[in-house]
Amino acid sequence: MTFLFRDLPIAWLSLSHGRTKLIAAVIGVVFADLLMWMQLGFMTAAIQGATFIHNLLVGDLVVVNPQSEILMQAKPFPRVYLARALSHPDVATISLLRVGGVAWKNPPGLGTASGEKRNLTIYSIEPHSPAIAAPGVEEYATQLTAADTVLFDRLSRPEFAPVIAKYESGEPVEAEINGRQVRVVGSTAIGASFQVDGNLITSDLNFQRFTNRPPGSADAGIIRLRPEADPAQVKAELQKSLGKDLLVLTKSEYIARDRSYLSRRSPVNFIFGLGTAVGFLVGFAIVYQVLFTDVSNNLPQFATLKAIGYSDGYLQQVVLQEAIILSIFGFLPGTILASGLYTAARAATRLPMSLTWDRGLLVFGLTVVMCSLSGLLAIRKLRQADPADVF
Amino acid sequence: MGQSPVTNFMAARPGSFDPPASIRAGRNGDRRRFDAADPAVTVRNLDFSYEEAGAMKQVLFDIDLDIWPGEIVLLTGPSGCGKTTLLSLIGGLRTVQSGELTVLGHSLHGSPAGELVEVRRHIGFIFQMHNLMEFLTARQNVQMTLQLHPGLTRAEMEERANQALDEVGLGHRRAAYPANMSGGQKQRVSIARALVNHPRLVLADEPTSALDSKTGHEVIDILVRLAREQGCAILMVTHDTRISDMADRIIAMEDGHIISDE
Repeated sequence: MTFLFRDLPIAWLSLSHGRTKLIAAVIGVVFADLLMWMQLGFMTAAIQGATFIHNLLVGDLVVVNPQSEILMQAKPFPRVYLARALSHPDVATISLLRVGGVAWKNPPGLGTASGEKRNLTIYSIEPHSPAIAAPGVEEYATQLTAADTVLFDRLSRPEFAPVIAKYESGEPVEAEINGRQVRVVGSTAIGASFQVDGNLITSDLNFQRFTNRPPGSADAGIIRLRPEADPAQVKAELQKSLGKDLLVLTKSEYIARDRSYLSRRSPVNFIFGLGTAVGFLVGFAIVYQVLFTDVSNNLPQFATLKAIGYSDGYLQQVVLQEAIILSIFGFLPGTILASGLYTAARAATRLPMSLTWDRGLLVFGLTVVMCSLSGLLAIRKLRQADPADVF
Repeated sequence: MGQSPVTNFMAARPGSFDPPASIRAGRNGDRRRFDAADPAVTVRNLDFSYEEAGAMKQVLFDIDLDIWPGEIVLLTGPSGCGKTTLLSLIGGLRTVQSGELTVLGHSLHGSPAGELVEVRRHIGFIFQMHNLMEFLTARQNVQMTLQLHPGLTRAEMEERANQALDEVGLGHRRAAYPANMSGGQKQRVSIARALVNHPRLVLADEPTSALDSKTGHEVIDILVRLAREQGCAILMVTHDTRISDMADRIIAMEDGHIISDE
């Protein structure tokens, strides 16, 4: 590395001399990076989108049925089981949460989804002690005590935008849920995801009306602790007193548990992992092609360098440097383009797409590996540069 | 290789050089006339065979040869006579199979590849097809040789490369790329590249074959003049009979044997 400033930057001079070659290689890397950014972004969004609601839970601890794998497909448990938890001195409140899917029939005359039946996710809260701290919940909680009322998620997929627009203009919005006439009394903000087009929030009584689920059960108990309490300690004590029929988790454990389930059990990781791999392979193939052609075209010159006393290691370094230069030149514009596409994808799908540092590092790391592997493969061609052939 | 041995060496060399006969006489008798008393190249009983379709085909037979410091030696013979093979063996570009070969004090028989690379760094190579890097300017091409030796800063290397180009009459073409130079100019750049380190041995393989006769003559003039100034030995493979008058010795080969050395 002491040669760094003394020696000519052969790798750069070689790459930059052939403009078309450089541009072709950079476009290849940009394309690969764009694909990797998008696929990894969708992968994370798919998993994060499914846990939007988790982040909005008001408590410190969450109690679920241990057989319940994920909130969306929760196994209910009798709410009386939670009575014992209330007697713990550090427990301030326990709020109950239920989740279900309902067929929402969009009001007629409202955009592309007019009159269509769509499946929406509906969350049930207790109006006097809501388990969800989403915007608007506190404000409209009392109105939800009226029969057949709901809050509509304004971050639902874009085709529901007219519903929100109508509500916000002050007009009454009436729709059908599972055949019942309902009224939108407020809006909230939760977010759509791959699995969910949109969300509703309603009271526990309305939830029973819409879903015919029996009263007296809960999908999750959200426990708020007194300010001075130690969540880990209370969690252990509650777990002991509640026994094996219930599982007590901290909020972050709960989020991690659901995300881990999605990573393991849904095809999300495989699908987007495959997409990322395709991007990697495309970039690999293009960079390899460019470096291989470069080495082949310069074979007599490389042989000459060997003849006058340059080592194999030096020449290999040059090819690897070319690979690294390409990865940097491709990564930067690739990232700028990805940021534009993220914005577009966010607008079109309401998925939580954002450029994050850790994903940036991952994509850059993959790019460097991709280019270096191409370089290493192209270097094999260098062996054919026999200095004995120069005469 | 530091600069001081080169300087001393050059100081000890007059601009004109003794004819080969007196060199050989000096070797046997009055050694004081040669401060670099050892030959630049010593070849003894050298055989060489290529493997061809599973069979060994011998191309060099029992070669004996000495090249003395400052000598300009032409190697001639019909194509396929083994002269290029001999040149590449002396250049450390092929592995010696049998016999003795000593170049600039290094015995090449059985040397590890790393040592061959090291020996090559002290030899100036001039090729039939200039073999300049297309993506480097004339000056940068010359710098590639200087980089092989530690001790010079970037600025010093650039200055020496510029000087070397001045010496071959290309001071005005320093920033030109090979694609924009004539054949003669490219070959002059490759002379500058070979000589910029002041090697004690230059190996040249038909350096004029791609040039018209006038340009070829100019190029050889420059090469011989600079070699004389630096006191550097040249072994040149050539068909070009018109340059024989500049040589100290002409070695003729045929079918892998040296048939005359005068």
